Amino acid sequence: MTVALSVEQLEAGYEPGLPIVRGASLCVQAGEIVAIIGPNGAGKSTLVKAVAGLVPIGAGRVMLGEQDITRLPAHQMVHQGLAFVPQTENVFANLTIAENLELAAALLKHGRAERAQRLEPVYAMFPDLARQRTLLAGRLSGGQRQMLAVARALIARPRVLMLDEPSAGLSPKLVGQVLDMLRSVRDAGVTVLLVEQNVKAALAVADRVAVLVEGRERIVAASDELRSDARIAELYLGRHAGAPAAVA
Amino acid sequence: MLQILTDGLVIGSVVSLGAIGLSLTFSILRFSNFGHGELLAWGAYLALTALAMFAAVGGVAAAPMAPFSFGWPLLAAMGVAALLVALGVLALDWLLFKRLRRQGAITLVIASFGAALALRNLLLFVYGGIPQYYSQELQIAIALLPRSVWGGMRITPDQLFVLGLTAVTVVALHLFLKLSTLGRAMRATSLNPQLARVAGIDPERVLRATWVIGGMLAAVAGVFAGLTVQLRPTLGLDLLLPLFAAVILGGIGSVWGAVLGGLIVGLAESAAVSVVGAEYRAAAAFAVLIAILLIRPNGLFGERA
Repeated sequence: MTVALSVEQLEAGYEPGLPIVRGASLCVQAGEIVAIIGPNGAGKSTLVKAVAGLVPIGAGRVMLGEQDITRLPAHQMVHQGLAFVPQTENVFANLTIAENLELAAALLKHGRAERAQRLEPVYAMFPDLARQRTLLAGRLSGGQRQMLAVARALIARPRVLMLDEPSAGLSPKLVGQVLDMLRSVRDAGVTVLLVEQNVKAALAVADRVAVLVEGRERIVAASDELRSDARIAELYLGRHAGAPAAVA
Repeated sequence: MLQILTDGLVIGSVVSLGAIGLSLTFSILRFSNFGHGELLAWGAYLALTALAMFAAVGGVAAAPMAPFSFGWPLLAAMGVAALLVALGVLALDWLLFKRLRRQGAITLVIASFGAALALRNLLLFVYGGIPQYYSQELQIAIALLPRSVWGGMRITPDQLFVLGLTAVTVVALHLFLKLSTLGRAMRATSLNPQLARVAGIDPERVLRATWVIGGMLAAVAGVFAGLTVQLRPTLGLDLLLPLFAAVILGGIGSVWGAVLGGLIVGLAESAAVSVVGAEYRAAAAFAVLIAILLIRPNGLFGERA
């Protein structure tokens, strides 16, 4: 399989000399959904933000396919094929739905016809958004905002879509809808890497799961294998804390 | 009574245009630029220089375009001044603010105080302290309403020009922010700079556009102030507090809020001049500001503190 995104020995943090991500490595194959899970403070969000260019990288390398994107400015990532949907405030609330999507299309600097071609399939994928184009994004519900945020990211036709806790703050029904949407995105040929605090949701949607603890990946395995793996409970809840860490 | 309205709208036009730039700067660059008033003063004086150069180099006599007190050279001079102020403020950003951006808003505010002092004294050094005028032509005010109707309403053609061009400028800016990619990128960046970056918006391009638009509007406002009152080196300092009052009153970050805030400040100043005397004009503007903030702490159009 082709590698869509690889992270090698990454160190990143907000303050120089105080890394939150400490030597994490991860490989995402093209066409799969990979979820990063882990306890609070493990560095999950920092990891994807560093990959997206929002958090300074101290050491390590990030490859998008064959291309080295380590320390590329955040605003250039989307042009290289890497889109990122932050956890909160992930739509421009002072713009309408149409303005959010048209801005994303216009920033790609294509002609008017190409812009329309980019918008149509996204509106087709999210008919709720198409019906409410003139509505301010700030008036959308949590689930609708998540849809709009993903729609905005998909306008650029990214090779890899990264999401930071897409289920955060959503009701169980809406979480189901968001997971279905991510499967649709994957089926459309986009590789998905998501950070998820909701382990059940992560295991339900992901092909593989990486467990991050203290800034490093401790387990990377297929979701099916991890569902009954006692090590997850150990890492999250500290059970058998006295026992030697049974990790990779 | 109605004359207060007319005079207030003219003063308010100048304040509004200046306040729009200040509001854009605050919402996108995230600091209060206390040097913004000096951009108005420099715009006014650079237009005066351009006007003199047109007359000296091209032999263009500033023949007024009836019924106005000025000819087309002043319009061209205003364009030149707007461009020069935009270039100047970009240079100031490169020399000063860009280097301090990582230090935080307080450092930038203090730096802007320093920049204001330097710009004001440089203006005084170059042009001297004597008030100047674009034209010595006297204007006859047009009676819009007779004295029998609430004291009547009179306005000079120059004041009408200022009102008209302010309205056109504000509408053009609104359309730019609403419809153009750069305008939408500026609105997006003002709301959420981090999301703007991951959405593919180049933050430096947006910052440059903000400085250019703010600088050009300030220059036009300065020319309007010079046209309707006079040019003096303290023009920027005199207008600074009304500009901030207008921005806070309208709601920080809102173009229409800055316009409405500017007009309200203008009307308050005009009413104060007529009712309690010119020395209390600034106090009147702030009384209105305090009253509105007690009712709407985020300003008339503001959505966030």
